[in-house]
Amino acid sequence: MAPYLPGLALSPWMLDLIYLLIGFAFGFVLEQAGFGNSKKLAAQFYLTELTVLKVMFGAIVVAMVLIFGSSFLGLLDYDLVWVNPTFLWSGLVGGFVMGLGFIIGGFCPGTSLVALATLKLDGLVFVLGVLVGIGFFAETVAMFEDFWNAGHAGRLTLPELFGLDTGIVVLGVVLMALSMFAAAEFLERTIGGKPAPSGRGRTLLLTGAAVLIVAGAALAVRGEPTREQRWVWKGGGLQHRLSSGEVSVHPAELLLLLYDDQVEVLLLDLREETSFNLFHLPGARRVEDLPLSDEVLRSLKLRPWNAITVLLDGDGGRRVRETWGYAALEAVPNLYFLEGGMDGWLDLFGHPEHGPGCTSGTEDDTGSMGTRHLFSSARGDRVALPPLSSLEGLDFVRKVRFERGLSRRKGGCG
Amino acid sequence: MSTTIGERPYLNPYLAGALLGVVLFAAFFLTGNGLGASGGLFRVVAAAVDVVAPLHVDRTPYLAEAAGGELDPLDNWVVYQILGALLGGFVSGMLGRRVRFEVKRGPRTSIRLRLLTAFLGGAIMGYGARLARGCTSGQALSGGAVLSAGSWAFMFAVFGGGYLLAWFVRRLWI
Repeated sequence: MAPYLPGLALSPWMLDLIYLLIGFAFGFVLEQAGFGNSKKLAAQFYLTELTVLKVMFGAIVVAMVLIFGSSFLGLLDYDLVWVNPTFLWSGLVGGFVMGLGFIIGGFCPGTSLVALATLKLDGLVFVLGVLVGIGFFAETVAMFEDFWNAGHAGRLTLPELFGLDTGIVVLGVVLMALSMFAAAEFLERTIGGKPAPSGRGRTLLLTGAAVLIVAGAALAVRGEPTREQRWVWKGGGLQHRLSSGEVSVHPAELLLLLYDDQVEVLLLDLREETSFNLFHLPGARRVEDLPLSDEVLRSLKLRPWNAITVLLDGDGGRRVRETWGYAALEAVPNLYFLEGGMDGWLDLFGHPEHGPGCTSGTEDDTGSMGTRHLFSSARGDRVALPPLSSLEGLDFVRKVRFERGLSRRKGGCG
Repeated sequence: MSTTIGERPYLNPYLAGALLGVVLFAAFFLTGNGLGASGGLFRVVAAAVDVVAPLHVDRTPYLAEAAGGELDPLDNWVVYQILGALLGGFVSGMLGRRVRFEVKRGPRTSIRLRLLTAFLGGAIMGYGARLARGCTSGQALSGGAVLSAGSWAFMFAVFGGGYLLAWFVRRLWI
């Protein structure tokens, strides 16, 4: 499944070349559209020529239909596509400020680059202004950091926001854009005094509109892929990650992570309530119901990039592996499970009642305890973590790495 | 609109939009990332400050994230993308015979005023784009196409700001 680049081990210069070519096509089309000309851009705001609206929403609608079309067909993994995280307040205020800059300066950053490339001096000066503005932002953002981060809703999409199927939203956006195009044609005729499109041009436009409506309707009727379909496409890869051991964390590594101030570790304990009450790790939260609810999955996706989620059960067996697969299919980032479960932990660090090295009980005791270690009384989390010194001489492989790769870094325009 | 002799006409806006949509889709399909511009310019700023005052970069968290310590701010995909955009814009301009030293401005605006407002507007735009975590390319186009809720809110805010001020600065453009 696409996107392909993150999975291919291409050499850096190949990657750079691909981005250069994408940029080339981007700049070429912007210039062809007339976006190197500030007068054409500003005309949008005086309703005499609505090229900006037509090009922008035309591009959004065409790309959207292609993106969700290929995603619904299992060709593109939407979970690996960068979706700008929502920071409502800074987005609204920043957007408003940009609107002011747009009408004063006549460009946005991308269009000013093609203006510069075609030697428009106002474009050159605008680019210099942008650089100064960016520098000024870098120096001042520390003063209003809280506002800048306010209203964070993570990877929030319109279908999630409205509680609608993605296909319905795609169709809705297509219809909205086409109505805006119709209104734009009307405004250009009445305010801009332009002739209405006729003949072949008109036929082409109507054909294009019809194609978009049919495509949008097809996506709305088909509906977004079900869990079962997505498991068919991605299950193999997830199974491989499970069986290769790359997502199981050794108890010793977990202890290191729990002591690490730089990492936020969320421990989700999948065991029964009784076993959980007998003994659990400090800070561990018990999951009430399996499979994980949509609410829990959503909260896991919202965690910051330096946070990891570690699932654990009694023995690191089927329950924790199935839950890992369930959550991983929903694209929960930085997701691991504790190798050997609580039994493995106690085997390594010792029983809090009997001291290190003592394994009481047998496999038969697993039962409702969820651990083969016996407890005479419920300890809850009133057992301190073993000291770091208990790791001395232990041999283990560290596996946790933070996904800041292509899909999760501060990407997009950032 | 005044067309200088020799300039070829621009592409039909709907056709240009559809082509831009295909480019945007190709970017997502191949790389998982959309298109960006202000992010690349930010990295140019970080690189410039890093040359002049590397210690200051390390003390300013926003810059340090791109250029702190040994980090090379220019070693990033979006930098190659804006280099490509410059090249693509130039080639398209050559084909359209539109590469020429000039200042595009409204009929009642002097060159001096136009350059002044271009700088001022650019600075406001640069500040706003970093505040919003992306510009018209990275937020509106890319985020809009993948249905990011925040990007759609952002988009309407941009048009809101532009239309609100347009009447007061109309002398610049019409």
